[in-house]
Amino acid sequence: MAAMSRAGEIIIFINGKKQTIEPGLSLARLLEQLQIACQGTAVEIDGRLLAAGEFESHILQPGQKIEIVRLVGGG
Amino acid sequence: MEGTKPDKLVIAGVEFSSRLLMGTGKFASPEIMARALEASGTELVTAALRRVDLNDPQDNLLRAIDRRRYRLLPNTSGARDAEEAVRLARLARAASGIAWVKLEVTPEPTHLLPDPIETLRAAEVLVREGFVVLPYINADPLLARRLEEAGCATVMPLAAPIGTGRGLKTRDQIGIIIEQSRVPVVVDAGLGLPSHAAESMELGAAAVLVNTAVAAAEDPVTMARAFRLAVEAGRLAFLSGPMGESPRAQASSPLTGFLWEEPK
Repeated sequence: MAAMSRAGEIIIFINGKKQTIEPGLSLARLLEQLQIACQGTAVEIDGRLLAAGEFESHILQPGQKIEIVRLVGGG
Repeated sequence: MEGTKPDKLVIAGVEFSSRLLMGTGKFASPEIMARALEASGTELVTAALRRVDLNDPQDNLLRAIDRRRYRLLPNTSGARDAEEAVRLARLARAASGIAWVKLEVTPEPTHLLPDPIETLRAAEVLVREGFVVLPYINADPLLARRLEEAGCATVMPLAAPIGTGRGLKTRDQIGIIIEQSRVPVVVDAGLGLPSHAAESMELGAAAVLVNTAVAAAEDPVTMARAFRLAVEAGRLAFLSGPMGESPRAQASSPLTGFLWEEPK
């Protein structure tokens, strides 16, 4: 899988969609760019649930599959 | 008791004054949902866990729900087996900080009936991990007992398949579950009318959970109030010790003093 694109950008998968991001981006910064509040949000990366304290320190790697979830209406 | 004695629903040591649990799905808008929740008098509301919509990242249920007023109960809807249910429960806890979970495992898409074996497997794992587990089940008394023994905080048998509004089709089985259970029995799914909720409460259910019946009504706010009244009426009737049934008529008026009676 070509996880690198032109200009040194990397490809990751967010909620099943392919996205291009700059290298060295932290998860917290990605959420900020996507305008997603950390509060009320949980994140899994490649099937591993991240603790809230890891959002800042986790640097996204090429090819990672990221699931960003939150509570919605339901029965 | 004259209706004045406190009659609390207690789940895992937490007291609730309302015996009506409400779902938060299918409402036309967050505003209508908020008004319906208020009219229902509920104190415990369910929510689902889903991917954030990247095109509408501000959309957030938690903002529309006053957390000081309502306790949230995340569910595992969409889970098709125990592994998926456990994964969803862990994610919901991470997202919300809430360790309560309405456990749902529904692998079959037509009737959305809960899988008993996967539900029990998931319940055992989640109880071990410290979750307060409220499992959604078919009205199977043996399964209910096994889940209670596994440490679940309630059992939540269905009245009819979810979203069907058909009422208490599993009445006899739920009666057995109520009779045998030491944890609260919450009748969940399939209730379409307030009379169905009242019937469940008269039977001795500790609470009922309603979503579609309110959200899909033409006037959800008024329907929420109707369910509130029905749950209260059914509970009071249960506590009042209803009369037994009789195969023959029993006159309500005196059977003496008729004006055509001859003096003796």
